[in-house]
Amino acid sequence: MNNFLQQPKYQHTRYVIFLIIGAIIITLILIGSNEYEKSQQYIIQEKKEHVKSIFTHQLQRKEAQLGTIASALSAFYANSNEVTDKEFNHFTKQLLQNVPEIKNVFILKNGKIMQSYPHFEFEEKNFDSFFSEYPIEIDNTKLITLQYPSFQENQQILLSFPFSYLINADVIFSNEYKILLYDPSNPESVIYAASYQDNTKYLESIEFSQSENDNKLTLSYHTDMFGKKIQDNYTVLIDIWDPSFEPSDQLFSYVARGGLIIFALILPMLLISREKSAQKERKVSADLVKINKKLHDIDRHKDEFSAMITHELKTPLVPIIGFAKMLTKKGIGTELNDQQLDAVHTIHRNAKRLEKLINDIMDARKLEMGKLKFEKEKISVDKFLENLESAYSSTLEEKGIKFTVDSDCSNIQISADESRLRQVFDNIISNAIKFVPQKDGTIQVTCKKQSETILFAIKDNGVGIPPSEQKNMFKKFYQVDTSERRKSEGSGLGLAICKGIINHFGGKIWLESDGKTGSTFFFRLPFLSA
Amino acid sequence: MKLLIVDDNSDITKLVSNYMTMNNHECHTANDGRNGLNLIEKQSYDIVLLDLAMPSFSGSDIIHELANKGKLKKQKVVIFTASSKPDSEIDQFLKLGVHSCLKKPIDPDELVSYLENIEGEKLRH
Repeated sequence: MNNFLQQPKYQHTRYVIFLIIGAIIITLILIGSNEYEKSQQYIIQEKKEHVKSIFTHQLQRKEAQLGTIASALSAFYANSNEVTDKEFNHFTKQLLQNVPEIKNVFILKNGKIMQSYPHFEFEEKNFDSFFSEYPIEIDNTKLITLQYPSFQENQQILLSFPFSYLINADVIFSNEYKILLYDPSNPESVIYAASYQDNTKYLESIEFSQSENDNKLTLSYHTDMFGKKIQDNYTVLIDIWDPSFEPSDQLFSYVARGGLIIFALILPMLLISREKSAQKERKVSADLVKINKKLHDIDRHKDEFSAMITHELKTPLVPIIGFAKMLTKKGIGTELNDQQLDAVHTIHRNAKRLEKLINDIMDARKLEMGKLKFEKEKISVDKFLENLESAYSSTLEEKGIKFTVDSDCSNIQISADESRLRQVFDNIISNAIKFVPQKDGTIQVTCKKQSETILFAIKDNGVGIPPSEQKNMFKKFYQVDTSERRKSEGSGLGLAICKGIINHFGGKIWLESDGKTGSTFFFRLPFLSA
Repeated sequence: MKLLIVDDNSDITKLVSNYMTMNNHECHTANDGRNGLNLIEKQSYDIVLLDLAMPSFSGSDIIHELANKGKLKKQKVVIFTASSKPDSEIDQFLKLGVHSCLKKPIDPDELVSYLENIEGEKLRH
């Protein structure tokens, strides 16, 4: 699946897939949160129904209780012609034991309080004028007063009780609910309010906030209770609010929904942009692979080409050098006159120069590629230096150069390739021969034994090498003077090759020169113990 | 010494021939692989100097022919080549019985002294 998606030609399909994924996520979020809301509302409804039914049952029970008390009192008076205070008090006391919440019982005849229990002090008073306000207040407690009919003519039975008798919120769940009881005769007016938030009971009024208002439960209870200053057949209106009526964490759910939707929108965009940059990367690395392959091919062709070229260049040199040399030999019946001999010498010399140039190029390349072959031989330093002198004797004599060899390295052997070591000496000494003055040229070769190495030095009294040029001397093709006036011939490869060879032997090569009186080339090689 | 040099480059064969003559040796030349092989089969030489890279019938072909006929045991062959063949290939030839391998270019005087040096050597088997 992955590979399918990663192919470039399915790029647009990928984008479409991402967008579809995003759309699906959004849809799922919306559906999910809708369902969640619905289930929340359902739970709240259940709760409200529960509260409603509890309250309703409570009201029914209380209604029945009060009705029983009132009927008992009514029956009590009906069965006696005259009821004494004592009898009344005793009977009422018994009755109220069942419902201790009832604060006071009033027996009225034509509006005048005939009996009052337990508050005797109200007897003989006119109810309406004494209790002018409603709800009435006894002992600093506001009381609901309900009026019940009696068998006796002109007699009214009144029961006064606190609001908490009717509206006992202990059955509800939380400590934060608010309750308002409306005056049924005047539905706008609140006759009782309670909020248990601060454990306060009975407040004049309570404010519902907008949200509380939206979520409150309105209980309307139809009752046959007759209330003093309450109409017959009134409907009690109670507003109840509890925090659990509110859908929880609305803000959170909006934030969560919003967040998830944003996420669902961002996700495809992120995936798309990541896809784009991955694509770019893929293209770049594909390009790099291509370029790399091309470079390798070019490199390989270059190698093949230069190998072939150098081989082709070398081949004709063999007969050129060979025959030129032959012509210079005496005593084989091919004597030449001086002029002819000189011409042949020139041919030979130049052919040799060309040969050296080709060899240097090949050696330099092979050194660079690490492909130059080295033999491993044990070389006796003394013998090597002896041979050195004889190799150059003719040229040195010709040019009148004084050549000395000074060595304290008797019986020392080094491990190296003799011909390559010769190559190093050849390069440096032939350079020296070029640069020493015409008549008083000197070349001194010295060899000093050090603790673990031998230090060779080749010193000449030529023009020297300016300090600013010294660090470049061992670089390929570098020549101090490339102007037309330069005396030297050469490719500039010699010293680079020397460095490559000495480094291969584990040694070090460097030069010292004051730029005026000559130069000394040093190279150090590890030796095998004598 | 009687030498045979087989090389398609006539300048080289002429050069070597001249140098050998200068040094009082006998030198035959062949500029073609087939001709070279014929000469080897008809005559005996002290040394055969064999170029590897030749058109149509190369030095390696000659070597294999001689090896198959068991002639390398009797004939000293020195390979003479300018191309840098891998060591493994040269080793193969040496295993077959070739005496040694010289790299071109070589100084003709040095070539002559080398050949003189190995003339007396016994052949390995």
